[in-house]
Amino acid sequence: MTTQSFISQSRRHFRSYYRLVIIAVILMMAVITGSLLLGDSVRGTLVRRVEERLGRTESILTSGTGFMSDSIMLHSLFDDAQGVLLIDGFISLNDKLIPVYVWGIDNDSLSAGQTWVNEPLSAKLLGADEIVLHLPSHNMVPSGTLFVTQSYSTQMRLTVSGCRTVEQGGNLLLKNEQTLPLNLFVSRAQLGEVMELDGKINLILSASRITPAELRSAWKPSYSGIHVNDSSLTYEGVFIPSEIVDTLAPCARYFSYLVNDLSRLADTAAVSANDEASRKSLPYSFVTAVDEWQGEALSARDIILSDYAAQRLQAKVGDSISMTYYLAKDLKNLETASCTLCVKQVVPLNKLKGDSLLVADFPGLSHVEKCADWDSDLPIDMNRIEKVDEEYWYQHQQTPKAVVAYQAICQDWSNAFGSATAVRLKSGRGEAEARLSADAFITIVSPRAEGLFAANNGTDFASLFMALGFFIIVSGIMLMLNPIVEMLHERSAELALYQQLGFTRKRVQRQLFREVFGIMALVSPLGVAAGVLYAGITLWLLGNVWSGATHTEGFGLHVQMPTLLISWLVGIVICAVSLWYLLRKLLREAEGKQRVKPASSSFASTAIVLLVTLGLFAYNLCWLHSMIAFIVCGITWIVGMGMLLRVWLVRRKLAADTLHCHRAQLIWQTIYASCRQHLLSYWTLSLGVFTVFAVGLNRPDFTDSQLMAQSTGNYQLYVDCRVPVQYDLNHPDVRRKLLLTELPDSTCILSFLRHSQDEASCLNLNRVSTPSVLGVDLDEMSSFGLQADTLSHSIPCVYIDQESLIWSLMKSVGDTLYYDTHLGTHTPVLIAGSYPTGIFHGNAIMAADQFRKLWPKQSGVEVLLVKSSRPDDAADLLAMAMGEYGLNIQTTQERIQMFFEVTDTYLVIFLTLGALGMLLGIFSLFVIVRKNLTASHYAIMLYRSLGYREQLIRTLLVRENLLVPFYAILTGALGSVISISANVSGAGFSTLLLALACLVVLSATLYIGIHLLIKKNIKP
Amino acid sequence: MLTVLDNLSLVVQKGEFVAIKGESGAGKTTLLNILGTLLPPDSGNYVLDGKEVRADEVAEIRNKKIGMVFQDHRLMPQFTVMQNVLLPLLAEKNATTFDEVQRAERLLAFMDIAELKGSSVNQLSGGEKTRVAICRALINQPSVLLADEPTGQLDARNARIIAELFQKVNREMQTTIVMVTHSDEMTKAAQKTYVLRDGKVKVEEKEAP
Repeated sequence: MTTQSFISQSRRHFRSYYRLVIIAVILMMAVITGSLLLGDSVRGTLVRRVEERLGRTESILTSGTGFMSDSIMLHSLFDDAQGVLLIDGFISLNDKLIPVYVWGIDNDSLSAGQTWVNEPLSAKLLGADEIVLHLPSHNMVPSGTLFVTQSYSTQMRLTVSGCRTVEQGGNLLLKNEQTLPLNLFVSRAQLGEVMELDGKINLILSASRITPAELRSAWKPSYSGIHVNDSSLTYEGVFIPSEIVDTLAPCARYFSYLVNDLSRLADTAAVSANDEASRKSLPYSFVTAVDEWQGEALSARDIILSDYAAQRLQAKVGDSISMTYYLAKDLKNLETASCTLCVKQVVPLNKLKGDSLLVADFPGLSHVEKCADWDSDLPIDMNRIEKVDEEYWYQHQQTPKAVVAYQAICQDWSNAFGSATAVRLKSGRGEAEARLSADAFITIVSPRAEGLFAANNGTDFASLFMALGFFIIVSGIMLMLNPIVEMLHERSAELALYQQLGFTRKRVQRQLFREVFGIMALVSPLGVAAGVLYAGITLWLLGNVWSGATHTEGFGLHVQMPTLLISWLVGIVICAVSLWYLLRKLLREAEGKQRVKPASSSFASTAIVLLVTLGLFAYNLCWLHSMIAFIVCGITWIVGMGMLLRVWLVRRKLAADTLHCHRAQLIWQTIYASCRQHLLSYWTLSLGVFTVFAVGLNRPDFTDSQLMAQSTGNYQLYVDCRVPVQYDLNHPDVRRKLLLTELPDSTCILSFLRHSQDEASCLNLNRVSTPSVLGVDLDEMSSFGLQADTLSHSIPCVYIDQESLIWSLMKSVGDTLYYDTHLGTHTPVLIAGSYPTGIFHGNAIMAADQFRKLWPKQSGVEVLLVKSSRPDDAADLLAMAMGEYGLNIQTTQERIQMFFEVTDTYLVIFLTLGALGMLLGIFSLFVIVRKNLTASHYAIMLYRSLGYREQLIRTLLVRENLLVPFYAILTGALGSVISISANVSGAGFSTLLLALACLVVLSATLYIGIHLLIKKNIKP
Repeated sequence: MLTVLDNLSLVVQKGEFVAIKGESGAGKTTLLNILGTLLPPDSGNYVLDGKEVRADEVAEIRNKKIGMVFQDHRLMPQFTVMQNVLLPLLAEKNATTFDEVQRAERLLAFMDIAELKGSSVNQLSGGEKTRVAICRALINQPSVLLADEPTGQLDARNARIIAELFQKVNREMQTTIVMVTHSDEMTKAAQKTYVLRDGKVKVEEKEAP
């Protein structure tokens, strides 16, 4: 007989125990392997998404809010690249707004009027062939300036002629997000025509890596719309950015402007106030500000009139002229300003007409036949325009009627987009071109590296599911060890025999370890295989039942050998260590080396723990109100009550020395006899109940008014504008202009500027480096729990909601983010604070003035919050009156629910896995009970022989085995109530009722299970 | 089905001290279990104190009329000596009374182990354990005391002491004793000895002392 055959024989004999051990090992290893595979699979899927959304693209060249000439594509540097015109648009379908990315591409197969859509968009269109695509009016002149047309959007009627698959680049997306984009592909030529962007692109997708140096050497100013000739420079975007103007110094600057009124002051004094009609003035005239006139500098008060203007004003040299014009404040809040100037010179009109730098090409104003055709966003009073004005326009168009000093007026006329409409060069063309750099106009992005970083460092599903399944792992270990304890109990005579035969404890321990661990190791590959199944099922659930957590179509299963090997090793090590520890402990106990802690000291420490719990709870309830502290209270409560149970059992044992005897004493002493196992049951059940119930009770209740008020700031509507709104919607004039006068008077609209970056909310699984920024007056944010203090910081500051800060950005307050400014430079932005997660989840909040400094060209409002006494009416009116802006209106409650759905789904997953773990815990409790019943065999026989009725014996056994579990359940449940004390009302009555029902079901399951087990095991 | 006892007829008079002998596997313990109502006979009658034993009364009979002493004592290790003795009293009520505790103390004194009442049974010797088991069997003042090889694990000296104690119980308490034993000491202590063979009993003639 060999040791191996001895071991094999033992395994066969005790196979009923080994069956349970096998099940437990498989379960535990399945959860470990599955969790690690989930991490791999999510990561792998995100990486695959990066490949899908980028295709062959290695470098992206973007012109930001500006555009590039498609002639740049003729350069050899871009042989392997594609020029694209990418615009954010939207489709209205069945009263629903579908935001889309519109890709203007060059493809011979794509004719005008036709469009290709990608698969996700195709699904959204529900088979519609004809669509109307709405686009913002992106022409060369930014919408944020004064001189643009009244229309802020345009439309395209398109026929869906094909579907672009993933392989065909249908899911192109430049943002690091896992959600599939809604892409629509149209002919670039047609898109350019509709948007007045002929020959323009704003994106180059290159299959090869392009360095800044290569770009600089290939770039010409004309590619970015800068027209330089020997003596002057103009820009297709009309307003030349001040940085460019500064670069070209010394130079002569020109600024063309439409002024409201030119009047001769002398006449104004002469006429009576009632005789306004006889006043000599010129309405709506183009005036150009210049640094110098015919080589001579102009002083601040100088005005040079054309002979036409002088004649109309009856002005001569030395007369005073009043000039009135609009000033644009934020969101085109118009103010009228005026200045008094002195006529320095009267020049022939032809002299002004001959200089092309004196005029600029303003959309809606230039190139129209008559003044009546002006399509301007400015409030132009056409009644003031007389026939003579129309005649002038007909003959001379925009030719300025006067020239003023640039220095005097530049502060008022300059805007965020530029400080001149033309520049006369002093240094010559060559030097001017040399001073200009591509860096100011084009930004190079390496999307693949950024995408892969975001995918590989995103939400760690391995850790997440390991944490979520932790309770199953613990229960699995318990389920694995309990049968071993039971088996060794049955083999106590065998162990005693070994001792008598002279086997050392270590020898016996080694032999038993070989016997048990051999089985564990043998079945461990099955556990790994079960882990693959577990991961597959979980991924399927994440794509279907639990899709609320990830907002994806699901994830592909990525099985990697190293992961399988690691999880197998981890599982094996856990098995080996826990088994070795258990055997050592049991065998030492068998040798009588068990230490019993004195009850008195236990009582003192128990009292301390419970008093600390009580103190912390009271302090937290009255002053601190910290959720974490309440959870700590819940846990210390369970620890304290566990210690109290032990003290109680010891005390009952000591009390047994009295002469009296009663049944309760019998029960407590019997429980004490297997104190360790009962305490183990207590810890498992109480912590299980605590975890599951605390999580369940912490699920948000959207009927909780306090929660909603803090999350939404009491605003009822959240409006996302696809086309930026350039107005202050609280202004009465704007409401009149946009036909919003029927909005209830109480309606208050809070507007936000937006710099769009990556989605940093819980909807994005990628690691986010730069969340989108919302610019707002920070004083308005106190109702959202944001306490701002930007004055003490020298750099721009943002405030980020707590969840995004911790989970998406993995940063903390005081850290720095880096954003690209409108100049293409990286600028540091300090995370100055955080605020409770709510309606702005996933966005950074910045003071509006700081926002405008960083991104002056993003002047339009893209997010609105609406507070109204009649929110439904307000929503209807906004949708109707501002249809061209592509308003996506949702209630703030819906938006909060959308975010909380993610948290809620994770909680549901945790609850599900926790409940599964608890079931395993209960199962292992049944194993303990069965072992107790086996051990009680003689006691049961004795009770019978002493005349105890079967019912009484059963009652005693049920009580012996149920008192501790019920105590554990009650303690765990109370602990969970303590842990949610911060927000007991937030749990909601229905949740509390459900928790109570679960508690009853759990207790009933335990009672029935143990009752049946006893009934089965003590048959007479 | 194995037939252990076959057409067996045994009458034990009140106050008798009877020993039953027999080879291993002869059915001694089975017979004792039937007498103790732990096993119902497949057929036939069991009359105790002139009244036929009914299945629905067995628990009460075991508790009130029969005391049992087992070879392995069947003492509860988690309880003290006193608690083990008082255990049968809890079959009918929740707690023992002062009188009952006094009765238990008298029994322990009767068995000469009064000083052990607060001890754990794990600390007792084999002989002491047997005495505690006898005390427990007698606490309800049963009319019949059944003992299954009570001295099986004891040395000769202790076996003799236990035999004397059984005689003392029989004599002073008028308790009927039926004892299964291999021990000559115990056989000698009994007034009558039956031999169990082939499922039947027959009286073994006692040699004159």
